[in-house]
Amino acid sequence: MFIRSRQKTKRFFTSPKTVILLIVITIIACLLGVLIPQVTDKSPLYFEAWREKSPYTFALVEFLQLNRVYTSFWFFILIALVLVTLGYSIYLLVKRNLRQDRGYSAQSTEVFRTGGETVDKIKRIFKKRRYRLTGRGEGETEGEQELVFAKNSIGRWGSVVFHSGIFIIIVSAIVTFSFQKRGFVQIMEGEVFSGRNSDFLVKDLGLFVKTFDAGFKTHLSRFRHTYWDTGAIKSLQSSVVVIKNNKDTEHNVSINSPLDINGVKVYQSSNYGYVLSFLFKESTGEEVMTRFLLDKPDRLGKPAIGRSAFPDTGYMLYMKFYPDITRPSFYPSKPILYLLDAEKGKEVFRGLLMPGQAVKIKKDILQFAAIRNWSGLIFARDIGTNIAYIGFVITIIGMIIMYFFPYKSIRLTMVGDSIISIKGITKRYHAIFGEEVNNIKAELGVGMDG
Amino acid sequence: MDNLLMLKYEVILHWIAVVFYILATVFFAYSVSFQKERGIKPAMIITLIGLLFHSCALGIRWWVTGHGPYMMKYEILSSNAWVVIVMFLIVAWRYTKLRPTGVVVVPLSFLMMTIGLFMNPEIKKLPPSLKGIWLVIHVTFNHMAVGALIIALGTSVLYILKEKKGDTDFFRKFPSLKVLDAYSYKFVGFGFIFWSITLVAGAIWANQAWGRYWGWDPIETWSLITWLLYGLYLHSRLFLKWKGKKAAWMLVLCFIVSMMTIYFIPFTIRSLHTAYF
Repeated sequence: MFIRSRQKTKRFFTSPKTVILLIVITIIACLLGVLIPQVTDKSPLYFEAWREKSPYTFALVEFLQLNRVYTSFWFFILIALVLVTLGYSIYLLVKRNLRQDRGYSAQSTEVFRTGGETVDKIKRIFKKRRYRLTGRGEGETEGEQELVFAKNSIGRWGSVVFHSGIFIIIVSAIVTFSFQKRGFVQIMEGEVFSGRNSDFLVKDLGLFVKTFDAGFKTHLSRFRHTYWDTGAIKSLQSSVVVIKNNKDTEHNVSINSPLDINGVKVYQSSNYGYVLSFLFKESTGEEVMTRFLLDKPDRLGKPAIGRSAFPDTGYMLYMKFYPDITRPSFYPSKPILYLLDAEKGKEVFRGLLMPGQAVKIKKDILQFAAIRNWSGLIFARDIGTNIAYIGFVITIIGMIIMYFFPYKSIRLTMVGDSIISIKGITKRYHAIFGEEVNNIKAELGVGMDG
Repeated sequence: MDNLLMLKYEVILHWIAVVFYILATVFFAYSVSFQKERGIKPAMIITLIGLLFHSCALGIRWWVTGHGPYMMKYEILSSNAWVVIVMFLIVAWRYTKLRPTGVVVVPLSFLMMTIGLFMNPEIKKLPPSLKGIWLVIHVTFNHMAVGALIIALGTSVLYILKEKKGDTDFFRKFPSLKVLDAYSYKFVGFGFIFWSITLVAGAIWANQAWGRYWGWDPIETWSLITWLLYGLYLHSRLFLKWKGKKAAWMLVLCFIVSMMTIYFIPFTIRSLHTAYF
């Protein structure tokens, strides 16, 4: 009973129909992922609105986890099935390849006279076509001699290499999903980021990871942003000082040039902007210093906009920051701030402020103290990436072997100087191979006077 | 010479190339429709002349913009058409019997170019995330994948035509149905490799730029769907023995999806690739 069910399971995983079915289901899963809005792409408000509009549809989508396809339970089962099937296929392919060539299809079964061709001449003809003599021996009946020529012997292993690469890529995806550590942080020029788990602004941790400590401190010395004359970003670069074991090392991080500190990669994010610092002097003499981080404006000439409560004061600030009042620019060369201050919904100040300028708001004083840049940095540690890269290389090599170098083998059976049969075997492009065999036959002169 | 004038010449050269490609298409269509072999050779020569103008236009563009023609729809469509034509000419030179596939390859190429010419030809500077060798590899192999798949489509169309009208002299000169089918398979195989390299280069590039190699971005996912579809095609041939007409029609479906992935989805869905176009 147990043996029968084991055989059944084995047959299921190695069945071509299962392979086809799994590919089709994976395609459908991906289609669902792009057609149904996913929680990673839309805001929670979007899903709330959906729930209110069509509660039954939404309940079904939630139940089947169709709005989180790639992290759903059924997608994991699917991936697990794909892995098992791939593993079995690789095992079977290796087993098959280790066996001797079988299944030569008869390209020719008639008796040909070669017109006195010698084996050396035959070898030359095959060599010209980059075939190697891989076997020579007695034929099935007495007096027969067999010559086996092969080309692209490595082609037999293409499928194994390719499927192994895919297997490794899927494993890498599982490793990434389980153990990745990613964190985003906004660092102001002159500020030091502790690298501690609690100080990241946003984190994306693997299933089995609870915290992410970078293991070093990062001081942002300077952030440079340059632009093309069209206003498009030309380059973003953060000059940082990495502080590790009381040693300081200077580095530059820019887009496409991440920094690697003992396996933790630091990437330059495309998020950046301005930091506006304010000093609030209360009538009691108490001073509060606060900073607001504004995103870079979308377009040249547009202001950076922000809205935030001023801590411990009850004031709400509405800010429009223009980096340069004299011309459209992203560089804060002649900056000005349009500020609206409100308390309990009532306007208490509206006006323009230059850096260093102070205004009186009721009995208090608000000073626009300074402007600096902030830079978004991504810290990541993912061992899955290296595994994926290995998988990528193996997959591509496997494909190239498979499709550019298909294995071909031709077996000639001879009696004396006469070829009595030519049989060929190949893994791909059988009809094209058939034409090649016919050309070889013509070159050998077989059939000419047979 | 100032850049604006150079760009004017570039557009003119592009249009001249389009005219030559249209002319070549007429010759190919005449040849295949009226089953006259004498139309093939002039069609090939005209395609080659068109390619020369096309190359000059792209060269000027490259010189003026300071980067390869892989930014904006205009450049992408034109450079893709160029790669397709070059691949077709190489295949046609190597396998002379496959020259009539030009009836599919050349019109699809000039269609790409013409759509591109009606789009905004403004020069866009490269954003920092797009600087690097992986972008060049990603785009080049994507173009090559399109080229291989268009040629595969061409051989499939020849298969369907030969199957219907195979008893005439003209079609008898084509490779046999089995061989045409094998060529379709071969070019899909090549397209599959190039598509895979596109995906891999994109993943490596994404990892360098954003710190992750896969993010289920819509374009990434559509690209994976296309890759899986071609995988399905190849497995169906192997396991289900789908050959000939069945395989040819499946290839047509795969081709439509791949074109959608490259030329429809990125222009309609907001994703990380949007900045690119």
